[in-house]
Amino acid sequence: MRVRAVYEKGDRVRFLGHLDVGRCLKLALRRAGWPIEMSQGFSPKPKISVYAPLPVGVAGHREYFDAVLSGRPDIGALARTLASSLPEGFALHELYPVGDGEPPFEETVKASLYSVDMEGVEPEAIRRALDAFLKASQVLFDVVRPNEVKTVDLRPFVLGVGEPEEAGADRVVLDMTIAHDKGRTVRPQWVIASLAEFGLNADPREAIIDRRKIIFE
Amino acid sequence: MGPSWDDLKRQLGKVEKPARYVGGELGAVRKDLASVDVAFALAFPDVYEVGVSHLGSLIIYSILNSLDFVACERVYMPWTDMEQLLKDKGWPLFSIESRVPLASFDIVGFSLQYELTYTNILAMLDLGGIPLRAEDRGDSHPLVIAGGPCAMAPEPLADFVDAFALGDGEELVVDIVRVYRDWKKEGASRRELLKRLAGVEGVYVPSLYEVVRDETGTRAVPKDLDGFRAPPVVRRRVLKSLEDAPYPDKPFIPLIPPIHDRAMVEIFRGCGQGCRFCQAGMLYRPVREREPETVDKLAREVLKHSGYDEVSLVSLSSADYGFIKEAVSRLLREDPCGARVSLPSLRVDSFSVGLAEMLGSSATSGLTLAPEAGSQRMRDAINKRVTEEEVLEAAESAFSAGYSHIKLYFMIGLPGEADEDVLDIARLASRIREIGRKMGKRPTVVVSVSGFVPKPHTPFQWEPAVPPDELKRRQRLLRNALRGPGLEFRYHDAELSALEAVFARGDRRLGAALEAAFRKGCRFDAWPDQVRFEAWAEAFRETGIDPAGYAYRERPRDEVFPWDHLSSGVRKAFLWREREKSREALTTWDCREGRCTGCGICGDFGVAVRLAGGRKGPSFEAGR
Repeated sequence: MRVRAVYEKGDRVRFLGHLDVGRCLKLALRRAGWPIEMSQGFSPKPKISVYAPLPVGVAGHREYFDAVLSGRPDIGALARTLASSLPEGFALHELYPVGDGEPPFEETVKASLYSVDMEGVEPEAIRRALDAFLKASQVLFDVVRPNEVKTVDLRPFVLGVGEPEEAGADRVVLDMTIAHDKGRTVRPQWVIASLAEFGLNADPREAIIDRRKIIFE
Repeated sequence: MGPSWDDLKRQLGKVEKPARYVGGELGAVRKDLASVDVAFALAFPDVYEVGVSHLGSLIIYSILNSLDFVACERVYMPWTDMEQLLKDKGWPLFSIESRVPLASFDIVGFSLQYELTYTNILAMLDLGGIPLRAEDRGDSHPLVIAGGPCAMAPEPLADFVDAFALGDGEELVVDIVRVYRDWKKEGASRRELLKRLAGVEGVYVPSLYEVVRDETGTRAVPKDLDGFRAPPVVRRRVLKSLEDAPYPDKPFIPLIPPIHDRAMVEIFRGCGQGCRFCQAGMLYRPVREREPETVDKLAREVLKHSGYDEVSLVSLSSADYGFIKEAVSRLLREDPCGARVSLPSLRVDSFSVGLAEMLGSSATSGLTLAPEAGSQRMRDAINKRVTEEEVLEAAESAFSAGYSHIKLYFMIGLPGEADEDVLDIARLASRIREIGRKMGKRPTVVVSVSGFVPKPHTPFQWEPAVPPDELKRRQRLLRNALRGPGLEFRYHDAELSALEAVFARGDRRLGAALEAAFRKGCRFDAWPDQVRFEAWAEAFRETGIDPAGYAYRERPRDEVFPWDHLSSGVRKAFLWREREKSREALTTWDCREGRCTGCGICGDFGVAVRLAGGRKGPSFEAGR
């Protein structure tokens, strides 16, 4: 039986990377005693798929993973054991069975809705930079990785941005909807970084970013 | 105060692996610091992933937090980017659990596992807002203590640490926090606290000793303080029984993978092999085994609590445990625990290979054996009691068990080593490769070589280390002899071994060089990509220290060492005897085989070898 969990990667665990989240979930599932099926082959691995990776620093309010279980255990009992086994910062929101006919998860993801919280910027300044960004036909950005620099066009991925709202002194919060295209997407930090080109002076590393939800087809 | 969570999280995107500084581990203990008598910061002078894997620290953390008058929190050495961030923001180094500055704790206790972490200790004190030198600390500052193997020869740190805790920490740390609590309630002076601590067996307070240097060597002599004198010799604390000692069966589980990402159960402490280069083998005597039932119970409890799918049965030589096959078999077969079992240290023999096979460690992951030396003469000299035939048999069993990748650990630069001994490493590796080929394998034999560093409290404490240029020549010699398909050569940085050799047998004068190096920005000296040898050379020059005199000098028999006032329980006369036997390539047996070797600990310290299952250990023989 395949089950899907909707879980939270909360504020306290936002600095975990995708692999760290997977490791924490696997340990929690073993503590919870879920009867997880193992893959065949030389080094069997538990059949768990953690979807839609979030980068280090980004929290997620409604994230997803699937687990394949042997037998047909009671969903309510599974949810209870997992909820009490998760480390602080994680939470289980929903758990439900998934049929075999369902399309692969990543293919059904259309976009992510993020909230971006920045300090030391004027709402007006960010509005102007975003307007310019949205008017551009392409916004090339260099993604620097340890062994390569890859240039991506951010513009088509940014489906929309909300109105920047003041959230206390010197703080601005705005929504940002970013597309997923067959598993490919871009990071909100990159979008913030690219706004330098449009006159915004803000350190993208200081932005607090949460994925509020994943939007499906 | 330390940073608030909101301030911290806005900055952590600027550093590598920010989860190192966030805590929140399952099983971490967070008490209200204001409501306990003693707030204790357990400080590990290396990065988080290394520190959280350290079993000794887990034990101390769990014992301290089990006391209701103590709260123990952790702090690790921030990576260089985080150190810079702390400085940029004007934040002090803070604890993981409650995010409060190091300086606000009552006691800061460092773990001393390795000499090349010493600059990190100074950096942590400095970042924590604590004066570096003990003499500059007053009533408002924490008591700075340190324990672990390096505390047995701690003089290079004597200016910076108020008190050293020697030996097994389980009972000792409780004694220390009790003395502290009582002293704090009375509101007595800091000097009074230090005097009281000096009265606890196993505590060495360096400021109560004067260093006397003369033609016989360097000795620490208790000062006369208005009639008070600290003990002339401080004896290491030794647990009588491991079986009765507390064990962290609910350790905290880090959210990012530690370097040893698995459950751990300590199956025995101490080691009877008596390898003459090995400090741990001398420092943790006598052997004290846990009962197999306890090992089994603890393994299942830690696995259940952690969710790990692997448990490691740890010790200095796990194949020596009296019930090793039974313990492994019970966890894997009779009553499967649902996890893999691993052993961190195997002997070089067929029995160990059989064990490895039983563990089902996959043939692709390879097998590691540590013959330590290539020639029989050198193996006898270091008391690694294994013959070439046994090494080859072990290799043959490994190949027939399906392994094709064999990793061999060796040391070079050992006392009395000649070029033939170095070349014998290559010869042995080639013979092992031939065995693999004859058995129809395509074997890979990896030869991993480190430079020998003479350590205090070992039979080789009188011996010189080999200088880096000569060590490099021997590395080249070996590399040239090891060419060919199926042979791989790996080696450690010779300069790093040299720096380690200086501090391992250092005296109090080295404190000045250590501080100078710290001021020049030296950090993470154990990390080949971080250590700065030019800065170290300058630090030695400026402080008038000749590092060669510490590292490469052979000591005369009667020299008094800067650590002679700290007793491990193993007598200096025994160590010298072992050193003389080494020169004649004579071996010494393991006292678990039944006969006392006369190292002295059981008689002098009133302890005994404790073997599980009621097996009889050796009887102490006073005459040896």
